[in-house]
Amino acid sequence: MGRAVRPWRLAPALLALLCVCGSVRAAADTPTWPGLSTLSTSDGGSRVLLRRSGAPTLAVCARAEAMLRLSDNAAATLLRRAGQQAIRRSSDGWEICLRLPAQELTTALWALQTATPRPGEGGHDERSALSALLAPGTPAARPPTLAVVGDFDVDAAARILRELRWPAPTPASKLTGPKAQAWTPPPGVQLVGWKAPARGTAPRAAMEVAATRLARSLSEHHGRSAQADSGPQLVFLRIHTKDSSDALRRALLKELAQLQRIPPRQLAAAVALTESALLQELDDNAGVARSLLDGIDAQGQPRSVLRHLSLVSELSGTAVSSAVGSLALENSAWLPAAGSAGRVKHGAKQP
Amino acid sequence: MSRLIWLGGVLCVACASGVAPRPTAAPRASAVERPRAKSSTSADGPAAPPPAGLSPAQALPGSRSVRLPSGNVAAVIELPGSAMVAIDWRAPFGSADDGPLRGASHWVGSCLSLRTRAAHPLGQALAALGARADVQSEVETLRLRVHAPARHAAAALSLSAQLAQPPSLGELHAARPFAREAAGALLDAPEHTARAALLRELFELPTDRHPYADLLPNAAALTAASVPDVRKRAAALLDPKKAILTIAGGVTAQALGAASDALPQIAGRRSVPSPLPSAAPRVVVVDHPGAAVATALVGCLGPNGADPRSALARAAWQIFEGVAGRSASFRGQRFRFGPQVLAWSVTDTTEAATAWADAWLTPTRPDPDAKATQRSAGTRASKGAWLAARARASDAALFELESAAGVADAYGELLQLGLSPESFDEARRLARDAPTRALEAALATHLAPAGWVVVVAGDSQRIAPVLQHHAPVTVVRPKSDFSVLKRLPRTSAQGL
Repeated sequence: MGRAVRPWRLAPALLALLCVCGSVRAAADTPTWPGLSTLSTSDGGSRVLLRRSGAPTLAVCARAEAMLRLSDNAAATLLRRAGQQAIRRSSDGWEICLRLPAQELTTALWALQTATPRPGEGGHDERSALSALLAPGTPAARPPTLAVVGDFDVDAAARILRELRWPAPTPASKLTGPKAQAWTPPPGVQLVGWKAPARGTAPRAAMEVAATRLARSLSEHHGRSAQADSGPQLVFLRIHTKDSSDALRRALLKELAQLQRIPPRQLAAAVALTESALLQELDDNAGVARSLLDGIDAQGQPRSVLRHLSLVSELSGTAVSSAVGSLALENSAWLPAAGSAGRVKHGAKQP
Repeated sequence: MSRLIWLGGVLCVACASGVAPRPTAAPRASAVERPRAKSSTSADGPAAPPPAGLSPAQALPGSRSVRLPSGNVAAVIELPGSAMVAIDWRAPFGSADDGPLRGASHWVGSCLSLRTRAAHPLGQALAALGARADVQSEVETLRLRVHAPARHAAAALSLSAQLAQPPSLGELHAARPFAREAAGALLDAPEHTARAALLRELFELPTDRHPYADLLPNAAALTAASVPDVRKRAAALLDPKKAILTIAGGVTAQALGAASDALPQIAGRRSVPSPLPSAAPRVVVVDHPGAAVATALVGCLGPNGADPRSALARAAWQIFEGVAGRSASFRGQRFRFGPQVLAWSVTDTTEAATAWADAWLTPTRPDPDAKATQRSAGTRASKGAWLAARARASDAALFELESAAGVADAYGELLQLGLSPESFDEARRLARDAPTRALEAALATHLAPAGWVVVVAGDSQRIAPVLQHHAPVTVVRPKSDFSVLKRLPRTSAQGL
């Protein structure tokens, strides 16, 4: 009697099964972005405007090869007034992302024309540090791109944007920003990154799902907390561990081998988690703005992240297994935690 | 029979996981001003910056009270267009309520956290939905957050209720090593030990024992605690009748339950020693030998979170942060029954942290009447900078409202503090519209360095000599219950 299977003990498993069925049954709740408009400008770049009704704040995200002139005090004051800002330097230029109250959009657009990261600003970012390791070299020439996302008067913003012109970029040799490679993760955190194709492609979708599963299996089998994340040109893992890099490397190799044949139930969970992470990114104005610029950078299509969402949800186990090869450790860039020996390792071979 | 009914309920919840069609939001009025100045742009940039924008009132999105099938009342905030749902479940108890069972709330939190992992059936069910969950054990809250795609809102809600069930004896036994390990990790991390040391200095030392001291659990306490005692504690902690539940995102209240007139309410009242002795200024270094990164916290006590002066005090700290333009961020913490902690924090390399502390121990005062722009370091701030700082102090809270997760956080905190949703905008209005004299008074009261406690967690060999220029320094060891390692005298005639 004591060994009899009690039906209520099966409830969590039954619930999990129902949830999987539910996720298959339910239509994907993908955003559609009906309020998207794109302006072409004389500098060859794109300005993307997306109106999202009801958003109390705006995000303005701009990317350029070299972001304008240095140390303009008036611009710096305006930017501070505009709201929260994040500036980072990646392997192919600068990105400035502002989050601001809606009424400060005019200020922000004016400020962006003259603003630039000052020496010491930017670069303190895990994505840009890994990107610089994976694709070192001078920035490629590119026209500036800008996205505005939130609840705003699109016509008024378009009028301002047409009138704004960006100064000629500073030659790469004169850039004075910080070296992204100097950034190190905080104690107890190690970062492993891989160069990846653009979002909106099936191989990239498979890499993201495989990285999600890899992070989950590290937590499950090795007691390390890990999260998968991605940037315009890379996917990466943020791993919380006290291990040495060598011990972590062994664990990663073991889990990569397991990933070659991923069971269907685990694949479904990895797909659901990856899709959910994308939706969460698109729940935030700044995340949407960055995704729009990623789409332009990759394929000239700001909506390509939406296609990416559907690609993720349709992935097969075979596609994910084949993506595991792209996550080989010899193709990775590795940033060990601050204070650990050998500050930066770079095992990257350029694909 | 009841189990069959329960299973039937689960089936119904899973089948009803799709949400009703969303109402279309009415478009709002234009939020962007037209450019007032003629935009005479050139390759060198605009001729003149536009005037400062107004900072209109922006209330929290409206909420509806819903009685869930479980009987709990939840505040539901519908955010049409959001593809996510955020569930914020709070038990209004934390380490402040642990009493002699020190570390019990952290231990119970560890149990819940283990349920979210991939090896647990609930963790697997969450992953199948694409949901992520995390558990935080705080001073007066045990908090569970679940973020999931909106189309799985009902299923995620059902799983949240299961996650928050009191743990069994077996689960508590299994979680003890995990809790010990987590406690060890806390004591290794400067950002956690700095916060614990600050709360200890502000609350525990002046009163001998204060619940808000938030003593981090140590291995000895977790080893000594009896599992049955902790289980009783867990049952009280996780009483579903006392939980505060907030749900925000792309869901409709109708899809989740029946309308209710009640709001989630906190029962009971914690006894807090009052009044507290005023804190004397002091500088404490939490020693992490060889640490490459330091965390600095400067803090003092302020009015209770529900006190109308509370918002003004927080605004004063945020405004000063904005005027000074330094790389610090406001990290205040409000408590429901006790005084709030006003604090700035910075986490950077040891050199930056010490330089920061050096600069902040001789602060400047903003001068709202200054006419000229004085930009050199250490001089009074300009009127423009002062106004910009006021606007930022007012608008900073808005950034929390961008996502479903941020709205659930903001609402959950207000409910926890016993504040109305209207108080969200009231606090913003105070920062924006309060008379200059009122803000000046708040600055004088709450920004006086004579009331500050400075805590820097990092390598004491590198940090202490810099801080000794300003004040006597006490070095404490986090792993020995923050006992004093050494006391160092001031080395300069000036300072605190």
